[in-house]
Amino acid sequence: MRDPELLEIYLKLGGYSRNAADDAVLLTRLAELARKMPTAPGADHLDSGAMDDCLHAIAHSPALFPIAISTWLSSEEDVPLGKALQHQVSVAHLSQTYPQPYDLMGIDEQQAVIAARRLCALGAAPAVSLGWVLSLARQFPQSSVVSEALATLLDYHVVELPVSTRTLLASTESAFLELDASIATLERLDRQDVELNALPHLQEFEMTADMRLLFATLKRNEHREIHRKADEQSIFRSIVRRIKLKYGGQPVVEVTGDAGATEMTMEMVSHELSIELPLSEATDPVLGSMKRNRLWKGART
Amino acid sequence: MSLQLVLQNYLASLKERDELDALLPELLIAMGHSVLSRPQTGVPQAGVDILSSYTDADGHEELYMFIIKFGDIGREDLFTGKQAILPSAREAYTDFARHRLTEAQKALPKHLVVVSSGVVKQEATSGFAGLADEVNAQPGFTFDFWGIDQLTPLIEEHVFDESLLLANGKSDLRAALAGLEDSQASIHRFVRFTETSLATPESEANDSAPTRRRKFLRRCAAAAMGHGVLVVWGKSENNLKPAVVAGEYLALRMWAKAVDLGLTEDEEFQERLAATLRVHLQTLFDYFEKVLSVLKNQRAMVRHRPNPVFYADLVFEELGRLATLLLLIQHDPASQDLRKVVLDELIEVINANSISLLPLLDGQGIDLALVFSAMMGEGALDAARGLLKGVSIRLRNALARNEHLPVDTDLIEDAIAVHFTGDAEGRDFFETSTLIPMLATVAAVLNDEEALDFLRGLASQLEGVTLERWYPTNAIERFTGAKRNLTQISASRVLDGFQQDAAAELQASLRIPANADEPADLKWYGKPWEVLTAVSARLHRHPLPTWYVASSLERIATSQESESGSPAEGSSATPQPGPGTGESNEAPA
Repeated sequence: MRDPELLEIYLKLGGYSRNAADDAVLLTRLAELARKMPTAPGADHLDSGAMDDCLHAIAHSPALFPIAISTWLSSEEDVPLGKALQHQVSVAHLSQTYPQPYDLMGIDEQQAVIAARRLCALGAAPAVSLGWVLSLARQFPQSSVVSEALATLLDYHVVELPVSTRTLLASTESAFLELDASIATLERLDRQDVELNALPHLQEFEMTADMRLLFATLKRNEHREIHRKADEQSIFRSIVRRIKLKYGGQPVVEVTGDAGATEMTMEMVSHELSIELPLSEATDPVLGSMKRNRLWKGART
Repeated sequence: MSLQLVLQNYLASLKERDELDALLPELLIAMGHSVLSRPQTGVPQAGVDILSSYTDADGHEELYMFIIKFGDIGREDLFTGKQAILPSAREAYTDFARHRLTEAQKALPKHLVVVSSGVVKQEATSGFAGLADEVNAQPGFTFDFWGIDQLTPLIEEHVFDESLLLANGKSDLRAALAGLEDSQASIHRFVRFTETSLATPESEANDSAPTRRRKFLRRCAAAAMGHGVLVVWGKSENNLKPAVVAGEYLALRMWAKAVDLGLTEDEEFQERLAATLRVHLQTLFDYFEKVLSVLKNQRAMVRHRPNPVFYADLVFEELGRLATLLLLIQHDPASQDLRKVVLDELIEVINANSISLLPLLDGQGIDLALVFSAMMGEGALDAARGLLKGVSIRLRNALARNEHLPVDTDLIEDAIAVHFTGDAEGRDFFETSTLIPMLATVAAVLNDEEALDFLRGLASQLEGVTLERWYPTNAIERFTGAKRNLTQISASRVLDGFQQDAAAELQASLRIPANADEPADLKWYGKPWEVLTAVSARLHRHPLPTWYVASSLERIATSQESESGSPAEGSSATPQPGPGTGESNEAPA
């Protein structure tokens, strides 16, 4: 059942007739309500089911999101809410191929830097974290605090997410193509790629037969798990019929109706989304989590 | 695949004149010749590189004079320069025949043989025919040419001799070459080839000691030739891994057999073993020249091994290999510059792969022990201390969180459960540790009280964990090919914590338990061959014996005799313990 107050906040935040002057009040009220809510069992972010609508509205609002995320991620008691919002915004920009620009005018510089570090530490979608970092560079070009953080944060993207970062920076839709930090980082990534592509593929380092088998099993299990979760959460499940084909690439489906059986030829469209995991997940996950931890904590100093 | 084709490829790929120089006496001995003189560089040999004599079944003796020419023979090789064939041949049938042979030898029929690892080029055929006529016209002289087409059948017939029952061995060698694409399969077949080549069949059980020795040496030659062929094919098929593993196996197997036969002090055997190790070393250098750049690039590594467990497996395997390379050359004082390069590369690889500080398997501690030993042997004590500190800190963090502890079964599946899927509980596979006692031994050898203190501080988190320190019996040097289980040559001490100071810990590490053997009982003890201990540890995955780790510092003195100054200056870099190792590693809330 919907909480009437949350519904009201949602309608005000998401409505066309949003009054900018009320934003701060509404966000503060939302944070107050969130503090009273439990966190999801076994997870560290807010069990935000009840306020998902509000967070969705904020995540899609260019004006609200920067204020909300920078305030909540930098205030210890609102961190669970900040994480829930981060989740929403990451889902929104997961497949985006250019860095999301943010207008940080009016955002406290210190808070914006903390938010940038913590978005990276939380593993936000690269379009979001990189977009935030570049927006930071654009908004506060003179700030020494920002330029110091910038080096760390761009380094994090270059080292941990080289492929996504390169795609995002090189995108023609990027709003940061003229930004020095973006140009320099792209050059650095290009150099890295040239170096990488010059390296041979070594038969000496191939996985052994056992490893290949084990790896295929792991991949299959991972894939099945993804599908199982997707099925569980899919709203389509209740309204559409699922067909699973073993061979057919161009299916013809028999439909029996009052007028007898008819055949329907169906077009198949593939849908896939690949996400780059941080490099350290494949090399040294413990060190990777330490790095993220440092990014998170670095915000306090 | 015919073996002759394989051998032709092998001969054609020889790069140095030295290699041909070494091969020919080998072949001649296999053919039943007595080699009377061998090639010597810088010594005037009056045109003749090798002199041998052959007595046939009827007792007729003939003399063979060999002129060796590397590669194909062109016009210039025949006529131009002091080393050209024609002047050498003339010198041979004049000066050499008149002044360097005994009276008895002068009376024997003489063959003057030009040996080449190639063919006679078109441009030189007429000149070559003229040379043949000229030599044949000399009284008592016959001219012969052994080019690549003549050498290969001779090698197949005599080196891979049927009387040595090498037929099975030949098919295993061919299989090893054909299966080069799959390193493991190829290594497996080469091991079988080595076993059949070196095994003494039952029919030879009653041979006299000299016959056994002679046959053993010929078997070594055949196995070494097989190794050489594997190296060459590995290069052309672009996979050197089977060759580098095969070299380790062959050297260890030769030694094991020599111990069985009581031939470890035999000069000819030692020369053969040294030659095998030289080929192995060269292959290792070629191998690392090829793979190092990839080894230092994490993204390139992940392309080959897209899972942290498989990736760590590769990192530690290569670290262990690189460390054995350094240990192998530490016995040679002339390799000073080279050793510095290898040490720097070793450190760079460690710095490029932070996982080096966190072994996922207990057995990866063996590779770390090799690294420590190699660093200490090089006098890079600061680097060793830095590495020790880094490993200890990450171990402490793992213990504190009960996560990512080194898996004691050394199985990849268990490592996946612990380090990747999280299907196993934190300490499911952390009941035994050989890694931690090894670290304590290293701390003791380094006289690093602080590090030892740090390890002692972990005691409360090691309740219920067996700390195992390994000691071998003297069967360790006969282990290769013995078809025995590792436990049969192992005695282990279960430690009850660590000693109060480094000196006491070192003493405790070196105290051999009653059921193990003193290192001095080993045939390789105190000799350069002692390095085979390290090769054996890497190949057979047994811990590096404490006495070997402790002997590392002694090697600084022997390997750097000609050097002055502090040995620690040898290293230009020290491993960084890895960013953040000093911090607790809480995940972001």
